[in-house]
Amino acid sequence: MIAPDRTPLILVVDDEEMVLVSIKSFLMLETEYEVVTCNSPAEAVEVVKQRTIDLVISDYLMPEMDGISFLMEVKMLQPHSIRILLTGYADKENAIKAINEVGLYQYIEKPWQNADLALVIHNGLEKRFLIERLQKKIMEVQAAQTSLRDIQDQIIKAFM
Amino acid sequence: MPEAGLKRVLACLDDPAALEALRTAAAPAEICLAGDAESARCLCRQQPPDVVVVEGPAARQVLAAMAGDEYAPPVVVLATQAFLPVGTWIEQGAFACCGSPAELGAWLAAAARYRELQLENRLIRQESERIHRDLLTSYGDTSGQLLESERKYAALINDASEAILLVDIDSGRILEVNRKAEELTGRSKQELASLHLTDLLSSLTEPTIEQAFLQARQAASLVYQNARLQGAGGKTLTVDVSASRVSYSRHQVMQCICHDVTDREQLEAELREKLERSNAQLVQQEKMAALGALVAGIAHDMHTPIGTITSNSDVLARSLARLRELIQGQACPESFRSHPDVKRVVGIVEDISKVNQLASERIVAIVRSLRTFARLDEAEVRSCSIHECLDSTLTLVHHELKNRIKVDRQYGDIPPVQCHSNQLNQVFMNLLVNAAHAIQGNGSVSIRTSTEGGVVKIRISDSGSGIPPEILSRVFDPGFTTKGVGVGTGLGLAICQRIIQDHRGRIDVETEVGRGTTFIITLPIEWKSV
Repeated sequence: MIAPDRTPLILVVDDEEMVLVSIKSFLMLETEYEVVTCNSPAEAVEVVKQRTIDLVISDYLMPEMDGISFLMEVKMLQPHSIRILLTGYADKENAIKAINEVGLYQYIEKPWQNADLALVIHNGLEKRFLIERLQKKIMEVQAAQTSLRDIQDQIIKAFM
Repeated sequence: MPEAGLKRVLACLDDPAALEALRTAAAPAEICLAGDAESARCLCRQQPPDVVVVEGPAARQVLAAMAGDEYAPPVVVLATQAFLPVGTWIEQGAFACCGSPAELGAWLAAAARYRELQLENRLIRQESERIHRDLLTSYGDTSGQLLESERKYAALINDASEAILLVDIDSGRILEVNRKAEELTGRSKQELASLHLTDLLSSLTEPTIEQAFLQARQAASLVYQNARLQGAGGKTLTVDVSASRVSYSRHQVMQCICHDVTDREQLEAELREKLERSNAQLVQQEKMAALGALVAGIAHDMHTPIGTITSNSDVLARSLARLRELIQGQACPESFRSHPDVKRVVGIVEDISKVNQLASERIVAIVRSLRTFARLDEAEVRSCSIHECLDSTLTLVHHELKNRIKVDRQYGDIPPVQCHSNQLNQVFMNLLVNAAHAIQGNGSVSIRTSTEGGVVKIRISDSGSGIPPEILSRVFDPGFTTKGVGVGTGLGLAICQRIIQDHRGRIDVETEVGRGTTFIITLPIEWKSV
């Protein structure tokens, strides 16, 4: 498993309940991920503020806030989360433009294929956990460095 | 008028006594003497005397010379020897015959008086002849002028470039026509003269010719437009008629001038048709644009529900597979696993789920084709795969082809083409639907693509009925259709040609009746702007 120590948390946001049900059912059947769904971006922002989200899937066209603004907010709150945009064909142009400013990991076109969705999510999470592990390693290296420096200090002190 | 009395006397006398007697009797008149009959005659001719007095045998010659001259001077014969009776001299033209010179005086006076009257008579006669001649001359002039003027007017009427008919104002019978009228109607003057105006002219609209004729009788003149005239060779002509009341041979008649406007009407009809066609073309283009927008909107709105349905059928299939594993697994009691209803129900759900998956896949394909087809977000020129365009169009015309028509795709290795793909899709759609309509029962449509020297060729062939040669030249004409009213707009191929021309390409057709038709589209790979 890509995340040995915990269950990945996935947030799905769409104003259409049917999309949420469909994606959640699929992920629950095929994966061990924890899936949280919201049918309003505002509600989703609250979730992002409270919990660590590994991956977010957001619809593009929503009444109160579009998917790109929402993902921007997510980026600010949790920069390391993986962000995926679910878009209709006609919005593709906008999605592509947004990839850079939002730091979008991928976009998925509606109607989507579940197999594609599973693959994109899997790869996204892998990236997410690789980075996480990398950070952990960096922190370990830093800690080791710090303790090395302490030892160094002690040795120097001992010789003095 | 000569003065009374003798002025000149010609004498041809042998007897001096007689001459003396004459001088006495004739005085104061001049006496001319002639020696013989011949000189007497000459003198008479040179200067006619008032009276001739002649004696003896010369008298006969003088009289003979003067015979026939109505105005010859009177001849008095002196016949002293009386060798001829008096009556004989008179018969021979003598004025008088006297037996002795003594009688001369009386006879001279009488002769003078006769001569006077004779000259007067001649003068009167000459005058009357002159007057007569003058009259004749002046009358002759007038009748010439009359003839000339009549000729002019006849020419004016007869050679007029418009048909003119004179019609009896009461009965409507044709009285007189000009040459143009004969030409226009293809009937002679005599044939026309037995007809009524209404035999010749008819009308499609109110007022009728009869009503108009009645109106024209009241009014001095009237113009009647777009009357139908039975013309030469059975052709129906359209004429404008100006009728006016005129005097003709002291009668009131209706003069009708018919102006042939058949050409004008044809021209108007042609223009009207042209206008209607371009209107229809515009309407069709607008319709297509509106349809495109509608289709794009629908396709967009369908993304979410169709995405959900597709996803759910997939989830359902996966769940069923999991369920089957569970039933086969150890955890499941044998009684449940072997229950016939469990097997049956699971089988049904699995079948249904497969069908659902196939159905939703088809819907997804159609929606994808619709948006490829409409592609309103791609109004600009783009590099497109012609094969993708053809495939998406084939998906849309699937219902026209069904199982009836086999589609054979012979796609060559062609580069992407810079084009308005939505417009090209419309062309492919039209050609494929036409192909499907051309095929009665089963048949095949083959699509072949190839490239050569900077252009791409797309050949769409059908095994249909072919296009008859007599209409082949018209298939690209706007408004031309063989599909009957309400079925075809007759604009399909015209629009195709327009689109291909806009792409700087060309569209050709090869056809054989009974064998099929091939449309060949040639497109440049690089877009060349207009």
